[in-house]
Amino acid sequence: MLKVNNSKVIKDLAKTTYTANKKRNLLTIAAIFFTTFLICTVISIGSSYWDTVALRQKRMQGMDYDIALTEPRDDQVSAIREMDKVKYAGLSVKCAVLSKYEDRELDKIRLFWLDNVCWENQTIPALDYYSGEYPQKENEVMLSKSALNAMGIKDPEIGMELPLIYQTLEESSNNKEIAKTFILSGWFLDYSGADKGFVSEDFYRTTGVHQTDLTQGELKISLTNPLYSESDITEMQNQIELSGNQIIEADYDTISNFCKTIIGLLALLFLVFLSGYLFIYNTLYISINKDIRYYGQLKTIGTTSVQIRKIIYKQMFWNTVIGIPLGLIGSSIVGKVVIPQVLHALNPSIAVSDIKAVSIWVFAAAALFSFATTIFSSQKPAKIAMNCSPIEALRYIGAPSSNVGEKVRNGGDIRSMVKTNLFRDKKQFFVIMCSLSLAISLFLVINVVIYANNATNILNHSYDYDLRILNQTLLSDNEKQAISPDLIKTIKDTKGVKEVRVLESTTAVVPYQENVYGEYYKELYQSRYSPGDYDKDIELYKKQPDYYSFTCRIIGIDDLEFERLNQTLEKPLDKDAFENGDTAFASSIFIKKGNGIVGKKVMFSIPGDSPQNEEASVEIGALLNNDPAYYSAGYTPDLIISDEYFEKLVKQPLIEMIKIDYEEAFSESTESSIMNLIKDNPLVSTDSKLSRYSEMKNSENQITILGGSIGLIVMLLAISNYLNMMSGSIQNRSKEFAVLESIGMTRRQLKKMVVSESLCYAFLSIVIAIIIGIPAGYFVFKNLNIYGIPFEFPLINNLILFLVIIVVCATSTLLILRKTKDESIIEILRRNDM
Amino acid sequence: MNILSVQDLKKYYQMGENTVKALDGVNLDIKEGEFLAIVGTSGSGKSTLLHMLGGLDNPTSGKILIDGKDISKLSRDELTIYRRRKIGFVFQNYNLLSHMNAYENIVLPIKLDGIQPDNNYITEILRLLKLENKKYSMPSQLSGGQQQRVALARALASKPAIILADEPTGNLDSRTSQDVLGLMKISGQKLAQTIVMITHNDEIAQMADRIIRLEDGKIMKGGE
Repeated sequence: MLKVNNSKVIKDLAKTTYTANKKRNLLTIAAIFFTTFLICTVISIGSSYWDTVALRQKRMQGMDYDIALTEPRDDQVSAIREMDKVKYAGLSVKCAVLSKYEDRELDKIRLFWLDNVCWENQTIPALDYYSGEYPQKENEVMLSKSALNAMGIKDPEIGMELPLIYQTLEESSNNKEIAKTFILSGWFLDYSGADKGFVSEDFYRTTGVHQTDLTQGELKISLTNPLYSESDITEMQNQIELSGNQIIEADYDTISNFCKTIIGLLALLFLVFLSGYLFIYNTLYISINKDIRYYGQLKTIGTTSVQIRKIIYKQMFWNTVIGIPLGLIGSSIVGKVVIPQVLHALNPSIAVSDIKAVSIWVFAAAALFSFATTIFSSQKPAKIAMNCSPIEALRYIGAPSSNVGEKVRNGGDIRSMVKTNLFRDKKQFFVIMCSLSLAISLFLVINVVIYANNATNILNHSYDYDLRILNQTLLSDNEKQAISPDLIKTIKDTKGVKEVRVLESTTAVVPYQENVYGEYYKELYQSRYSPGDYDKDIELYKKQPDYYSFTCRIIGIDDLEFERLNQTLEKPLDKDAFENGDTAFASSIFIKKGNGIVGKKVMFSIPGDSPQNEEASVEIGALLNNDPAYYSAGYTPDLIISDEYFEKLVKQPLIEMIKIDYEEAFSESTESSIMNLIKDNPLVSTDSKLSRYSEMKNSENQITILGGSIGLIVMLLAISNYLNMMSGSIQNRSKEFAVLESIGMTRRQLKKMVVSESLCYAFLSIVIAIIIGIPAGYFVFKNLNIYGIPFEFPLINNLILFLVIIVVCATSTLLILRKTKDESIIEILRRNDM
Repeated sequence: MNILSVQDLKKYYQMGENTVKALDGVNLDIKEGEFLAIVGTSGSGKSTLLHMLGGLDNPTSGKILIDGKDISKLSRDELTIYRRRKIGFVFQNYNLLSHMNAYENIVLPIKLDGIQPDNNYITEILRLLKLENKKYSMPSQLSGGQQQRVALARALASKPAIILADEPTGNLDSRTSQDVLGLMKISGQKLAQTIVMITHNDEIAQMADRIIRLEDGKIMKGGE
């Protein structure tokens, strides 16, 4: 066969077809634009979002390291630093605590000495910012912002004098208070919420604390590959000969957690790509019947299948040549200009140039994906047109439904027409539904991810109060009622306060009771926290039950705190029995298992306070994982009893703390009202969820903007998907609408029918999205939930999207229909016959 | 009494620099119950006139009075309702809705008016048009002639005062054509319907009470 040179004709034909279908091509370009834009923007903003979340996580830990060796010896430090697997190994030793600044009691601000590696490579990267220098001189100190706040210093200055009282953590120091005037060499902000400070090596040497002292010294190790297994740690242990109580603190779930995160992110990425794919596919599929009829016409005049395919590809190529660059430009503008500017406006310390550049690979991947999807999706009408005769193609009215026979239906009213219209082409219906529901599902899932990484949710989960006021005099020589009943009443009456929980406490003597604590003490002395020699100590315990190591705290709690603690238990305690003092909770700080404590009656006495120093007793009803109190005594588990019983036992009960819950969490006005009430009380310290949140503000703003942008973009995608679908569908059905009008359907009826159809699409896709999106969201949440917060469906955001979709569906349909109203029926009929 | 009256009706299209005069000052009166045939060559303006009479197209100037009411003064929806109640339209290319079966196509205008169709009457039309067995067939399953009969059935079903038919027998064999015209005539007489029909077929045109001939958008014969 001779080759016929007809490429010019084909090109002209493609051009004519392309210009004739201007409106439709606009929709296709829009779909290509949105898909390219979505993929590019979601991946680039998503990675910035993820980096910021990871940075916040680092700052919440206050230090960037992977594993830690406790109580390290010098030879171990050198050996570890030599290892290939180790990137950095920095030394940190807790050597003293600050207890008083001027007349203000402090909440035990811990002072650490960090070596250069630990400060430079592991601490600085985990700080929001720092001012000044790491202490060099013996009297210099660098404090965290929260420590300075606790000291009441709002505007610190480098070189300012700080008259402080501190105790060294040297074992034989007996908590001796030492007064010293420190010089402030700098301050820093991390998100750990811990009141802490750093001191010079010279000061550390004066304290007498050694890096090998139990729980004081730690070698923080950053690995070259942060994904380590248990065998890596064992191998390291074997090389450094652990002694005594030494352990390597490591999280053996690192690899599995990493895999879970990767699976979660991949699932999310898959959803992003799939919804982009379906967006383009759906847009092209909507006009497939019309295309096939048109290609049928071309076939009748002798155009071959290969030529038709060429015509299609040429048009799609033109569409991609417009749509893809627009998408990439749009994404660059949003990712490189809009979002950095917004972030910079919110936090001027973030330079616009700091925002990570979008990788060229993301651009390439998005462009390639949109191109491939467009070409692949446009093959369908060509294939169908090629597989049938010209006349069949000319008459093509849709994929044959499963029931090709007669349809015994007696419809004709608008309701049944809506139903018929929705399902007339089941495959098309399926494609539309997939595309729409997936776009919404993606929004649901992304919202869940944003929810899981929202600081307010994380803090709500990790704090069981909005504000805690702590009596700092307890356990001192001068115990006082620092939180008076009057103060509590005033706080309760403060606007915005929901409830106040009161905890009282005192130290109790618990005589040695083999049947109750026998097993517990055996296990404790075998553990890393072993206080010393079991036989010797137990002998001492039997002889001297009030020896401080074996005392415990007795904590009296009110109804509200009881309810709160009781609901965390699988088997809650009987309230009456608890109130009467028959049962109590015990805290399980040193013990993992029950060790037979539960169900036993324990005897104890309150030194100098119990009526005639009598022994009291209570049955341990349940173990609590979290001790609700702040102060601790000896190794014997604390007992938590009702306040009524507590007040019977203790003549002058002292309030240890109050926990305040606000009507509205993170309420600044409520907090400032309460802070005003206690501002002149030097005997109390506070811990607040709001102040922790405020410290995290910088990264939180960034996370909110980035997360919000992703959410917004996906929301726009979902909405534009509807818009595209509706305008495509109305464009394609203009002849059908003209026929309906010609036989008597009013515009009003037409609007009713089309709006009902689009609302049906909206409702059905929302229902399907809820069915797919909630489990998918839960799956992704489970994999990405590093803070262990409980799953919750972010209802408000999703309801907003649902509402917007419903409104958009209804109004856009009316607007698109309105555009056709100026044409006469016969013009539309004639145009479509051509 | 005139049911339909056309006064100086003009329809001009702009085709590039040329003005095409599809209708150029047509004057026409049609009496109630009259059976009128419009003949003319292709492009003479027959279909345009029929579309104007049915309110499907907007005139450039002139008046169309139905029952003395100027339909160009009606809003689009008023016109649609008017058409639904008063006029049965048979299109040359049928204009059936492809996703609805024959029966649904036929009763659609009635149901759009919120009325339950007279099923006995529909059955009779289906029988006369030999469509009893095709009641639930989809248009794609029908031949051209069958589709034309469905379109005719749709026009008759609502018992309109005026039937406007564009080549209603164009795709039918001569036997069916006779039957269809017979039905139109009977229906016309029984319900005092006015029928305006476009045809190429002189034999069929002869069955009408009056024939008008259009040429270049003007009535050349039979206008009075």
